[in-house]
Amino acid sequence: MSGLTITAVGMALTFLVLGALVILVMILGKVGRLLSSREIEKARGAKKRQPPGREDSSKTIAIISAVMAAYLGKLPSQIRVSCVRRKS
Amino acid sequence: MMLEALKALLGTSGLANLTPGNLLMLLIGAVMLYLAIIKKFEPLLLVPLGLGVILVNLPLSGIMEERGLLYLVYHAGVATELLPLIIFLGVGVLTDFGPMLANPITLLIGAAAQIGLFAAMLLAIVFRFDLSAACAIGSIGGADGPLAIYAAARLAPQILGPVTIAAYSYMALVPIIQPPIMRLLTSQAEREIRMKQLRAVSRREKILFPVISTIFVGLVLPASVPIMGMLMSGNLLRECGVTERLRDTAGSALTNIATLFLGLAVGATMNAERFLRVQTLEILGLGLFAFAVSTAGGILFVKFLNLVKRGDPINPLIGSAGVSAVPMAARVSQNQGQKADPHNFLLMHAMGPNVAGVIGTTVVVSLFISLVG
Repeated sequence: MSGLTITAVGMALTFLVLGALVILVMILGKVGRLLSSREIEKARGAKKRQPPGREDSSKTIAIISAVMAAYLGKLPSQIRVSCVRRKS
Repeated sequence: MMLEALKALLGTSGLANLTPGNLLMLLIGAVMLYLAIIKKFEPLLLVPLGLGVILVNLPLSGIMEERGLLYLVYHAGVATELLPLIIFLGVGVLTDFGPMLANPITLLIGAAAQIGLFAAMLLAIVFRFDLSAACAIGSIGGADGPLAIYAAARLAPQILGPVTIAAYSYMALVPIIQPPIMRLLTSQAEREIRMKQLRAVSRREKILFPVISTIFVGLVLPASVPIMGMLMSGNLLRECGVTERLRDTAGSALTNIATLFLGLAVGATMNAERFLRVQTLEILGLGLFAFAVSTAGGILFVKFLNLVKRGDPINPLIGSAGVSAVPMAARVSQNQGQKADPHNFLLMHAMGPNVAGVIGTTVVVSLFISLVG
């Protein structure tokens, strides 16, 4: 095989292989972005379904009760925290 | 009687057998050590290489004769291509394909920059090298040390030393060789082109790419499987996120051990009889030619892309990074870009063709081995 043949075949094959990789990478990018956006949407949906702040507020009340109980020298169960808003 | 014993002892000493060629090679070895230690030119390779040159040119040491230490290392690690492939595993660990995945068109720039390999191969044939040796010389144009060693060990072991020296010298000299070519082939306006920011690449893409590309390229070019397989295996260790220990070992200790023994063994192939030839100077010249043509090929291809492609133009300075001297060539693109416009940041854009060049050179070397090896 001559050097010229190797050059012609070689350059053509190099462009062909790397050109095919360009297409593969493009498809990979599209699929990757599609899956990522779906995952983000899923995560958003799950966040919406969760009742807002219920767990957090009960935790906060428990902590406040414990702190107040310690301050007043009582048991936490003897402390009642009112969550009723004052009317303005 | 004592005088005769002394004479016999002197006759078997290295001093009595030292040739001018040996002396010159010892000097070359010392220059390599100087360049590595004082000038910091590729010290990780040049120190073991220089040591190998010195050791093999000490007369009667037998270090490169059958059962000699470096003979064993050479035949176990270089002739079998094991050490360059281990280094390629480490290269995979250290390579981030993200910029290339974000801008896939850069893969084509990596392909165009391989023109120098073919040009040098053709010129080497004109210089009366046989086809295998011409292909090994052409591989210098990829500016990828381990790959040039792999190609030379496979195609033309007799010129392994000069090919290695040329490949690593030009890798170290990228900041000196490339800028004049870049300025010659681009206008001020082209050098000032700003490119839009690359998109973020997901982890999923980074994990899938090494697997899919290895399977695809391996199916098209089976000879590429050892090189591409090791490169992409290393990259998968990097990206998968569950093999930290393997990644750390492959990227540091294992690569360092392979580099040390590779340097020593390749240096040991450079004895005076083999190295001090006109052929060596020809190989060094052809390597420089290959490297310059590859650089020009990448730049001119980007200019061509800008003519035919719709959408945002590409700065032609990133074309020179299509030679696979990672990340030095990309840094040169960045520096030249900032000389034209201090607020232009081309580094990440240039990393795309830079790592694409590694894949391109892998494909071309595999092709050489398939057709000639």
